Amino acid sequence: MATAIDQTSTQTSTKSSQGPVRGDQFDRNNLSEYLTFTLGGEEYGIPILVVQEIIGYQRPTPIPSTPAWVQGVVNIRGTVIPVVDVRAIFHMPTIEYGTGSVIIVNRVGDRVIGAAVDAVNDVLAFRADQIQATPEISDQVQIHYVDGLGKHDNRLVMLLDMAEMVTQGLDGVDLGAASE
Amino acid sequence: MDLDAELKSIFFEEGREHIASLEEDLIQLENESGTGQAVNHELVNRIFRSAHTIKGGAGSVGFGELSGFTHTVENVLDRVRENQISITQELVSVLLNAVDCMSRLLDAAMGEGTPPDSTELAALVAQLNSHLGDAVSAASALADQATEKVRRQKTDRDHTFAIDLKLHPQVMQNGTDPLMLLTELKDHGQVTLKAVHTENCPPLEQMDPYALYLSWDVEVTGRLTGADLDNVFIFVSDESPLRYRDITPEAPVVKKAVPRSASEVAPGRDRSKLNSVRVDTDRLDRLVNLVGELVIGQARVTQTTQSTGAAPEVTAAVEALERITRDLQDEAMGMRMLPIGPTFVQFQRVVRDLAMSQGKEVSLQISGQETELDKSIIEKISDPLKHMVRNAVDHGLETPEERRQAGKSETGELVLSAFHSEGNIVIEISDDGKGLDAAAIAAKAVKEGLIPPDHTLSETEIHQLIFHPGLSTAKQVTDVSGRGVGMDVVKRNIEELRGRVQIQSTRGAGSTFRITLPLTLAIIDGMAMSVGGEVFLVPLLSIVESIRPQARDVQTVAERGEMVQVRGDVLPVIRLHEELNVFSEYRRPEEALLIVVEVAGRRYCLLVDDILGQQQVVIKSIEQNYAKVVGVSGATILGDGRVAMIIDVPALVRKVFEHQSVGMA
Repeated sequence: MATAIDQTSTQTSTKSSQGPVRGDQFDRNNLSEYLTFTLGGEEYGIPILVVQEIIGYQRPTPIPSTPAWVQGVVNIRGTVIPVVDVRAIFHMPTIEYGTGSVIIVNRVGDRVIGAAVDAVNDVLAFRADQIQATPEISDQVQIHYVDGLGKHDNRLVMLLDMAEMVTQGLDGVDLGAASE
Repeated sequence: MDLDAELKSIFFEEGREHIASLEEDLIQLENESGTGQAVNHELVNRIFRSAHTIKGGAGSVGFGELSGFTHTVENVLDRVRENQISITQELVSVLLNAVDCMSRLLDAAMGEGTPPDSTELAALVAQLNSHLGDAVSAASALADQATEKVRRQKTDRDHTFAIDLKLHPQVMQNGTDPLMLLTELKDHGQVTLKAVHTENCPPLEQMDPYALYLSWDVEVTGRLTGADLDNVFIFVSDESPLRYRDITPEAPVVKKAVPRSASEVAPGRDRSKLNSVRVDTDRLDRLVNLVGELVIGQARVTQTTQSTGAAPEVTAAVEALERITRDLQDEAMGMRMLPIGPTFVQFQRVVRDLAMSQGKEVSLQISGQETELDKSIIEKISDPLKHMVRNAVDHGLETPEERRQAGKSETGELVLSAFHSEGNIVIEISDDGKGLDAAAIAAKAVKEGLIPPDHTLSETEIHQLIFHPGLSTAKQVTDVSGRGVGMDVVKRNIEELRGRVQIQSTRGAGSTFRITLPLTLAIIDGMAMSVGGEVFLVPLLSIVESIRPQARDVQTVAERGEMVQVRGDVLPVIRLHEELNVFSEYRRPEEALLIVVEVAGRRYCLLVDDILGQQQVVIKSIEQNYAKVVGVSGATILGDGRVAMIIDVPALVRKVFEHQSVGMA
């Protein structure tokens, strides 16, 4: 990301062009950047600032007494971090993650939490007017984790509040009760 | 951290240490005076210096209230030092109260706790001052003893001293402020600045902002003696001998102060300057963690070279590296180790106060003070230990009257000891009091519905019941002063440190509480087990043995609760794969392995697929990034980089049997 930021000052002229811009041509004052990833055929985005790194998928070690959407823990250079299954959070059919799948490592508050997804796509920057409020969807969907919809040409990117998603999930679960 | 905050935090740490040593020394002083020994001047001087350091430090970082209060304390101590006040139990009590007050003032100044209110402070100051009042009459009685102190006595006329105030260039790094010294000098008389010497100042670009380049010629006039000057400069005279001359017109006396003898130099201060560096514990933890990583990385390298059949040179180099890594690990772990002694010593105060308030006579004996434990374990074990010590005095030991009737000596014995045993640390608290009343405990437990009236518990099992929350809290209602914890909390705290507690008690002869703790929290000796394709570690401390039972030894109750007979004892079986939510083919105990573990004096069997071997592992927190998981005390990283869970045996047993109340507390 360091290179992207360096180029900001030299390429500010592109900001007047219409439509979303690539991640390497953004103006930090008006645009927010998202890392996008896919789940099935859908595209999701999370704020780039919470992303610490992206690692290849490795099978987590299961933890006893945990909700189904926590896959387990993995070792990142000596730190043990939990991995949540984003598909499971949205009640989507689970798949066998393999090569090509990734774990997005996020820094949320004091915690470092991994999110297993099908694949990462892109870094996109959205202007405020390119982000739409979340329309009403069936309440079966975990809509409160969706911050808004970002439009990029014909693509619709569901922008997720990663912090909300993982911390709500973790804090909300009574692990003691889950064990019974 | 800005310099000011940094200074404050250094002062805070040092202040804590000085307060602790004040307390210890005062109690020693009381004990010695009680046995009729002559006053230990070295001890009194040490007490005085501790107070003096706190006063000076507090003043220099702007804690005026602490500094002022300590000044009053110091006045009293000064009289003690001059033999003008004799040491009585009452005086020591007042001084100990004052030390408590100083401790609270210090905490309050750092934004922790509530400061003592002003009336309380005023009352203490009045008490302290009343001892100063006594001093006048006591002084005449002690006049003959005080002859050796003539040098220190106030002169009856003004003297003028010319001081060549040239301090060591690095003196400011020790927290000494020349201005403070001058201010203190002002308390003794009229201070006149004669000259400032700037010739030692280097060019600006070479100047060290923390060094002192200036020196002064100062004259002070007042009713003071050379001893007063020595007192003011007591902490700087070690590295920069102070020169002063009495230039009072009639009696010019030339004197050159010599560095004080080693015994008179404040202990610790000198040593710490030479041999040690203060390091933030967080940094130490990071270092220990990194070394842990190094050990894991090293294991991977070793494993890879072995499995890929590397050239002999490579293997040799890796082996050499492994040795260095192991030494480094030992060193890094050792840095966190502290002796248990200071923790034990602080209990002297607890025992003294409690024994006095209950009219009991207690002699506290301490052994194994030098036994070293991980710093964080010491911090966490201190409160549970204190509680158990209080319990021993409160419930264990009898009053002198009762003891006489029981045919024992009037003074109760309380022994605190620490020692190494089988790679663990053992702390024992034993008293020769009345011991646990098993019948009374059992009766109470029956009344509370914890055990059925027709129970068949052994005496040892009944003793364990005192750790049950329902029982211990009920018993503690009558207790002295608020402590907030019961024996159940004590036990849980010890288990959180992966330790265990055992009781040996004989009615009428006393009780011994034996706490077994791991050497360090960072590393654990574990037995690696495989269960359903996953690797788990069971702490070696809880394992008794492993067995493969015969089919006929396995029985079920109501087709569920499995029991197995091990040499005549019937033990419950915990299926690890069920408790840990991992998939394992259903295996009957006679096909798998049973690990016999012991928790709180009872044994259980853990059903596992296989034993992989014993290994030392570095403990990683799961809680840090996730949440506390019941039945798991942490995780570790195996040689191949994968994560394995470490099983918290007591918590697992509690979880499995929590619906049953008997003996599982």
